[in-house]
Amino acid sequence: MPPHPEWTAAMFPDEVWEHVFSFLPSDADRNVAAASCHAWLRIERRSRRRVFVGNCYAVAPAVAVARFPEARAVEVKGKPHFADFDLVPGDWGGGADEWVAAMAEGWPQLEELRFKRMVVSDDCLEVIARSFRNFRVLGLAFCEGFSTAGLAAVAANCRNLRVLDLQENVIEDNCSHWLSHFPESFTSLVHLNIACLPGEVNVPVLERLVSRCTNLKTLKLNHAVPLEKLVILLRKAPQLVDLGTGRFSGEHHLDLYSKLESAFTGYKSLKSLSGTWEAVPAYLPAVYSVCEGLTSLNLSYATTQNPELIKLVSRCKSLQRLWVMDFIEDDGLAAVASSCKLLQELRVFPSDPYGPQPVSLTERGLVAISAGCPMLHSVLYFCNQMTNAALIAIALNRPNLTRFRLCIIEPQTPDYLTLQPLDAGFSAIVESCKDLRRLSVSGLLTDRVFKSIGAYADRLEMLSVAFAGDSDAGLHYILSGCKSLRKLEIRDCPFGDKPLLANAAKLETMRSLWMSSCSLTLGACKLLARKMPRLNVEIIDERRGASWDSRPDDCPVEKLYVYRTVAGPRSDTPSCVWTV
Amino acid sequence: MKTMPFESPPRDQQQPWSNIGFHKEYKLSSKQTNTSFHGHLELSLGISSENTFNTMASRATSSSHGNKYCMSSRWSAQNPTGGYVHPWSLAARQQKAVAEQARQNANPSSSSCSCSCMERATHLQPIPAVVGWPPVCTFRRNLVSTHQTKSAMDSAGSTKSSNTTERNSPVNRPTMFVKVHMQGFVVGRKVNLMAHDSYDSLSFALRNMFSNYLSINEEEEDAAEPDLVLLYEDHEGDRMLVGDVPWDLFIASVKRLYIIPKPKPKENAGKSVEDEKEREEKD
Repeated sequence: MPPHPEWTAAMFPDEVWEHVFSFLPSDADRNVAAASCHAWLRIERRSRRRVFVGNCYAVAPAVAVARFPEARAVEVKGKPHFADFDLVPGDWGGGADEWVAAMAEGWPQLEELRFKRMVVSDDCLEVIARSFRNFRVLGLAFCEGFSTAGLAAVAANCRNLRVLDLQENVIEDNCSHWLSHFPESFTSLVHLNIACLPGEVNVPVLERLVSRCTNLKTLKLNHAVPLEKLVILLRKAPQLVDLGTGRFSGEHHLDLYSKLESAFTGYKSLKSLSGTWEAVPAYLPAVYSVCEGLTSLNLSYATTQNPELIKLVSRCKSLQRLWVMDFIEDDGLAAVASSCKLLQELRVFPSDPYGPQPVSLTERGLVAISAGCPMLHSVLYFCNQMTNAALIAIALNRPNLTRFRLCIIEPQTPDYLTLQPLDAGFSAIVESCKDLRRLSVSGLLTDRVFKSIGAYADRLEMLSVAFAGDSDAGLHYILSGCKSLRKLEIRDCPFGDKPLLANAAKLETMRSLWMSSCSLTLGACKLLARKMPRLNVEIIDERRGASWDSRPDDCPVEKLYVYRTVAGPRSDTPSCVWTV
Repeated sequence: MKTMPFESPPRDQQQPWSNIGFHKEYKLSSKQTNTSFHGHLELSLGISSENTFNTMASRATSSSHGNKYCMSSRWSAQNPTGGYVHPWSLAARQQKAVAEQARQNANPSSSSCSCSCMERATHLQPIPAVVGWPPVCTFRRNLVSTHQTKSAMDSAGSTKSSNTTERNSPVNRPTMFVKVHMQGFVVGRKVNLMAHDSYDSLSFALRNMFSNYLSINEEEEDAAEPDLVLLYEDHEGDRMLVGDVPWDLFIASVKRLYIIPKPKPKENAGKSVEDEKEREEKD
């Protein structure tokens, strides 16, 4: 008879178990350990240092803070992913105030805080700045609601700040000299990303900051730093590993080119380069000296085109990550396929998503990359045309794909050679790529592809579907299969009430479900909410019309967001959200 | 209720808001659906603007891949213009986008990002065919808009190379405050250009803002134009007269505004040079 877990736990002092648990790499493993017996629950929760909350409404902030009293690092995510594409009303929620208040109360030792897609106010930033003695890392990604005045408070009060990472936030600029709030004695900065800052930057102040922070490894500038000033900054920080050049254009003169070139030649350790880059082609060769060592190149906001773009990218033989616009075209991707053998991640963005598509980037480029880059596992690709044959080739070339997101810009585009749906192609992807964790499908798709996805995509955690499927069967295949599914987001598909209700239990095993412009009715949502008390079923109605209580059951639901929670219905729903 | 052309209706019911029978076998199963589809197309053609329709029409006719398959197995309705119109890609989406705008305009909410994004989208670029599609995030959309505006300005005959624009993502910002200096006054004002959608609206706002600086009587105000000229400084540093270019291009290039008295015709050159020197000393 195996020994009772409680006896095993008592064999060693708690500190030994804590040390054992420190080897458990993922939260999932720690959760399992914590669930095995009371002793381990107690020991694990007291020793967990990193807390991850994937949905800020899944648990009450005070509860989370109380459960893990020794947390030093936390990440909290708010709005659904589709908020990035304007599908979620601005006042939907995701406010950080309650979280910050709870953390200030219960985690005075907190060192790292990251928010993603949350509404963070200047007040929050003030509280953060004053509450945590040993605060080191602040990361805000896709957030909004704060201004440079809030950043000034952080700069002034966080004496040991190492990382200030602002990634694609919407920031109001009302305090243009916020950088001056870093005291002269402040030298601990290692990572500064201000690429998304909308306003001007006081360059002399930035220069002084960069000069005295000798450990600075990452510096990502915004558009306000012209080329002449960039050169000065570069000379002050030759130890940089990650550089975002900002605009990379300005007043041009002969002198500037040679200064730029010599500045880059001094960069022995640079691994990552990015920038918005309205670069004049003539200035690009200035960066050639660092290309050989680059592992990450982000030109996804750059207007650089071929042939200069190809010349630049083909020099980056050590590249592992490439983000680029569709200016690279098939020719460019073929060049990448032959030069960048270590490539792991490729993202190709559309330069002109709404207009006519003159760029010659087709499925051929992606097939070439899949054939030439054996370590490729993550793909995001926007294009206009695709064939089943190409997708099958990609699937066979790269069974090691873990992320595959394909966006064919025109909805419901079939295979342009055979005019068939792309079911066969995507089915090949899920059958061949056994470790696929994230998938976005597009083009003309019938229920057949969802049958394959449900059956084969065992490791799939996130699925995005748009303008696809024929009937309820499609959704049913997904929800009844896909064993590891955590996030499902669907828009503009003919999926109705039946598969949702038939698979209600599945929703509690997932983090969240988003469905918009499908065929859902109020009655089904009510039934779902009644059946599954641990789900929040939110109907989002931007028209903010008559109360949903009074509407008939067959009233169509335009936007639905369902997520599991132990916190019950939230108390901050705006007028456009009705929790069923 | 706004129309939802490509939403499939609940199978057993004909809902008033569904115009196109999106049925799983892609059959138009009833005459009623046929007529409503026609009516729907005509409606959308009626309200579409010339430019956007032409752009989309050319896109539809030039994209050959969708035509054969969709035509034969799905839609038997004819396009009034003669070329094939895939309802999903053209009329339906455009109609939905326009309906969305109309709804947003009728229900203004400045705190809602989606509202303001849609409103700005109507002014600054061709109507995006569907809200949130293709799935590119806000920053990227802003950048696309800026690049398009820049290339439009380039093709409009600017001789200088326009790669010195000093901002790269401002065009769809929630607010855009620029300084306004009135000649003769040390203290300037700031105006939010994003709160306006036309020159009329801006000029009205500026007039209100500076009304206590103007020394004209109440009676005269309506009768005659105040003897003032509105200039702006563009991204290349040049002073230009406000009103020549379309509003969208103006927004993309304006850095500052100036209000100066109208230079008298005879002493035109001399006076404006003097004004500039005076202003430069003050700045």
